[in-house]
Amino acid sequence: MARVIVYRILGSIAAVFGASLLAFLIMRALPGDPARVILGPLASPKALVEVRHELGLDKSLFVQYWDYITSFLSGNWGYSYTLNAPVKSLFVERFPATIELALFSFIFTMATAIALALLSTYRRRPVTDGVVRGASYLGFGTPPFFLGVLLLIIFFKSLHWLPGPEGRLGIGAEAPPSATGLYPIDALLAGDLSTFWESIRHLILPSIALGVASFSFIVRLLRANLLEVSREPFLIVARGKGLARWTAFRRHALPNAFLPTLTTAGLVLGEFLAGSVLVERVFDWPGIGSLVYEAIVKQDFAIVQAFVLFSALMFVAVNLIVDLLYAAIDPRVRIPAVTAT
Amino acid sequence: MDALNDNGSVLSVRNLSTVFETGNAATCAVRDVSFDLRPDERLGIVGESGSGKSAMALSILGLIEPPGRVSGGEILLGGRDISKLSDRQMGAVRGKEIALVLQDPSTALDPVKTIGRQIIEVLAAHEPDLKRKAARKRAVELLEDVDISHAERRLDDYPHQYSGGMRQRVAIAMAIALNPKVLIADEPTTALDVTTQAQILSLMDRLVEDHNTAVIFITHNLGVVSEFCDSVAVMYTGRFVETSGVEHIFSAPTHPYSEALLNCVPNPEKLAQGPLPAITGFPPDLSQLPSGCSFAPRCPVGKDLAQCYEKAPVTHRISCPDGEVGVECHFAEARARGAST
Amino acid sequence: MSKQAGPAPGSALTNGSDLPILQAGGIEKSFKVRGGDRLRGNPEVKVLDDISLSVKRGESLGLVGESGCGKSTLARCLLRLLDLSDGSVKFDGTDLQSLGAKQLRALRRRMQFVFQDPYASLDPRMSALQIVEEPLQIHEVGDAEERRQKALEMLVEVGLTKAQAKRRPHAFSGGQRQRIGIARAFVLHPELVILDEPVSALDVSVQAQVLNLLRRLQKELGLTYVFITHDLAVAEYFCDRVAVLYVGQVMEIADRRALFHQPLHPYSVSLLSVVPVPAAGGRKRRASRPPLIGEVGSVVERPAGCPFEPRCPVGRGKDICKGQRPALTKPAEGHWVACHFPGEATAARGVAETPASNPKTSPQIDQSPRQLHEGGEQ
Repeated sequence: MARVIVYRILGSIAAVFGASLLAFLIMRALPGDPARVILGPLASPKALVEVRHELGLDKSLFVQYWDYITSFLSGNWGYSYTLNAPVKSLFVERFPATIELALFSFIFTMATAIALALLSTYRRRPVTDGVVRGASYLGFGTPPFFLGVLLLIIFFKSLHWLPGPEGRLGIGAEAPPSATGLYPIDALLAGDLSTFWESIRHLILPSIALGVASFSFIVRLLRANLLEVSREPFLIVARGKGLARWTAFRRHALPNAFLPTLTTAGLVLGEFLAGSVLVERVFDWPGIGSLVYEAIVKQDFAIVQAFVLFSALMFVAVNLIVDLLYAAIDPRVRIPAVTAT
Repeated sequence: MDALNDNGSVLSVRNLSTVFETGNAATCAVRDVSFDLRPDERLGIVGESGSGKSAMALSILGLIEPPGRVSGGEILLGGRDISKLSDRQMGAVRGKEIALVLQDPSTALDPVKTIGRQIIEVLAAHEPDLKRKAARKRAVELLEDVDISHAERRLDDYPHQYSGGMRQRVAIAMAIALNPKVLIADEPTTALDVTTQAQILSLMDRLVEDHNTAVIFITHNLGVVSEFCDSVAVMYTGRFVETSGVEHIFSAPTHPYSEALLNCVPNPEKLAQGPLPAITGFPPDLSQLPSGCSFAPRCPVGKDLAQCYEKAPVTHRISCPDGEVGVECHFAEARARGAST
Repeated sequence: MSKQAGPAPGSALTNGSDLPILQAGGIEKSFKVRGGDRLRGNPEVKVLDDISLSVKRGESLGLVGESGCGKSTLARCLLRLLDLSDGSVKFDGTDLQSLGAKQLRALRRRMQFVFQDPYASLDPRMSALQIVEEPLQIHEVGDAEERRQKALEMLVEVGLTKAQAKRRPHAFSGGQRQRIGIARAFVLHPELVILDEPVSALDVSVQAQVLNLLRRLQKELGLTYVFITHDLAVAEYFCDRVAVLYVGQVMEIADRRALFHQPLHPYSVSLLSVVPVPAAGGRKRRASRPPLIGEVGSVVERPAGCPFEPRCPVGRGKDICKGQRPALTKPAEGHWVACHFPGEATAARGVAETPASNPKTSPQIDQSPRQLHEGGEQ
């Protein structure tokens, strides 16, 4: 078991290293001169050379990469000239909003996906199954930002049920005292129920927009797994023992159907945590995604580069957790089959 | 519930029918099957794949899943018709009164639960007050009962750590845990090697004697039937075409299908007589059964006789030296007489 | 430690004119197992351990044994579908290990393989005709029209109709699929066909049809078969000679008659005795059998001595059986056995029962099947 963990961690480090290299090379290959962006179109050639030197752009690529990776590791993620702040502090400031949306959307997506997959397989009613499958198809083809706009038009503009694109709380509303950085939890901790409710209301539409594509995928995956597992002989055996239908299903079908879904769930969470540029933009959500959107528009080199590495880190971290979860849950991964008897 | 049925049988199946309805086609997997099982009887049910053996087993246990359903008949156990019970009421019967062992030991156990948990599950399902420690103790005893060494330690192993033969032992331990009156074993040795099969058969011998359990032994292996069972039912297209004591079927098979089935077992003694007497053609489509005898097109006796295609044969009860025989063939009496002379 | 492919045990005839079509000498095959330590490398498991045998032209050699005995691996090694770890295989005098890919491919035309699972081995997107045509294309036989004609003829030969040729595998039953598999292997008119459990997945009535077909084709085309099966009744019915394998070693090789009537290895005796016989008197028969203890040995922990020793009614606990692996010896012409005490199990147990005796042949139904065979030998 210990060896499994060590291997997984070593693998993760290698993956981050690869991602960092990719991030570095892509940014260097993109058009646009960082020095020119900082100084503006009227800067003198001499000033440009100076800034390039200051940024290390005149060194060899190897040295530049080395500088980039060491400074990243030591906490220096660069400086944003457009926002006049260190990139790291910008990320720290924006990350809680992204986490909040990611976690809420993830829980919402998984819960509805599980519920619908169960609904379509448990009783094996062809009609319910058809409806669920149809619904999951819809999600497939819809781009998240388009769905976001659509949701806003329906639930905000027309029905006035939910708030519009105004971020995590209403404009002018005061954030709850920060303990976790996640507004609903902070509000609950502070006993402020109205703020809690407000923050949840603000989360609903962006969560749906963010989650819908993954939702479709997970519903279909889970449904297929559940159907497959519910045909397994061990489920008939469980029923033959006298277990009620739901008990047998819950104890034996669900865990075995979820196991293969774990990897996908991890990818989804990693994707959410890395911040969705377009969804955050549509809802004016003050997270990493919005930050990156602005940075791209303004060609703020440092932020985008940090973001690429940051999202790679998120993916790798979540995947590491998934791998360890596998080993913890599935005895076939944890314990070798060859045993002396 | 300890009582037997009025006719002294432990299980009495009357006119059982099971259909699978998909779209416009209705597949009749079990067609109007009746039989009685004595309290210490071992009834072998033989037939080729698709003959309805497994569907009948699951029908008795009330485990036919949609789109299939039991469409008629009675299943009497302890004087009451269990086919009319609700699924919840059937839960008290399954595992306690009637237990089930399936073919493939590698898929009949849940791969992510320990052997111990799966054994205790059957105890707990019928004895909700059972304490953990007592349950564990009984599970160890059950494992010892089926000759698994180091039972205490191996209780916490997972199925993949057991060999195929050991898994089948566990499946049998779970089935006999509560001294059921009837054990339905669906091809319990088919996936095993011959040496393991021999061991499992002697284990079952001992256990069903110790526990006074009647057995319905479903198999396609005629040899296993001859060596384990008291009586035999030969199944073809969802019907019992011949029922008799085990000696009769091997010495004087009366139904042409029984005879043909026995004849196509490879027999080195008959090498000189040319090719094996194979049964020509294939079993008919169960959703489009012919109106007469379903074996007629393949039958060496009746394939050219109009009578066999026009009229479905009824079951003839014939007294033979070794007990009563039920044969569903127009020529049953003549063939039985012919064999006895 | 390369072994010579000298005169392999089981080669009954030594006069050079009747050279065996296939000769295997000292075959070893090891696999790396998963789950090992990645830093130290995966442990190797020896699945085949020093197997020597030969196949005579025109015969059917049966390879029997329980799961894990290596019979399927051996079959693949015999055609060099798998590379050997050690030893050699000669096909018609040519050492297969020495051949390059191209030469091997040319030779493959003469040796074919029929798989157990007729469904998994047929491409679901191809029609029966295309499946049977494919080997002809690979070996560039004739033009397109000739190939089509040949494939069609072969399909008819195995009992399918021309109308069925256009259908895809899913439209066929298990037995029909196996017929397609056979047609595919036989369309090139090979000299040697290795049949890996060809009837194991089939119902007994269909099994009989396929066995009859295989027998007829063997006669018509003068084929040599290596027939792998776990079903001893089928082996006794179908094969001329039989090799019994146990955890990757040959325990015994003999003519059908000798092996099934006078088995010399205790394992063969045990194996034959536990095969259920579809004949009257079965309950009594089984009760009279001594129980076989233990489980099939493991290739992971191969013992120094005889692999069957822990379960052997004769040699269990004996020092020589535990410490020293018995070599294949030839106690009778054409009968090879790897045992320190050949023949003792038979003597100790009186008789060995034989499988698959049909009641219809027997005048008295409650005879033991041993008596069903017209006594005489022994």
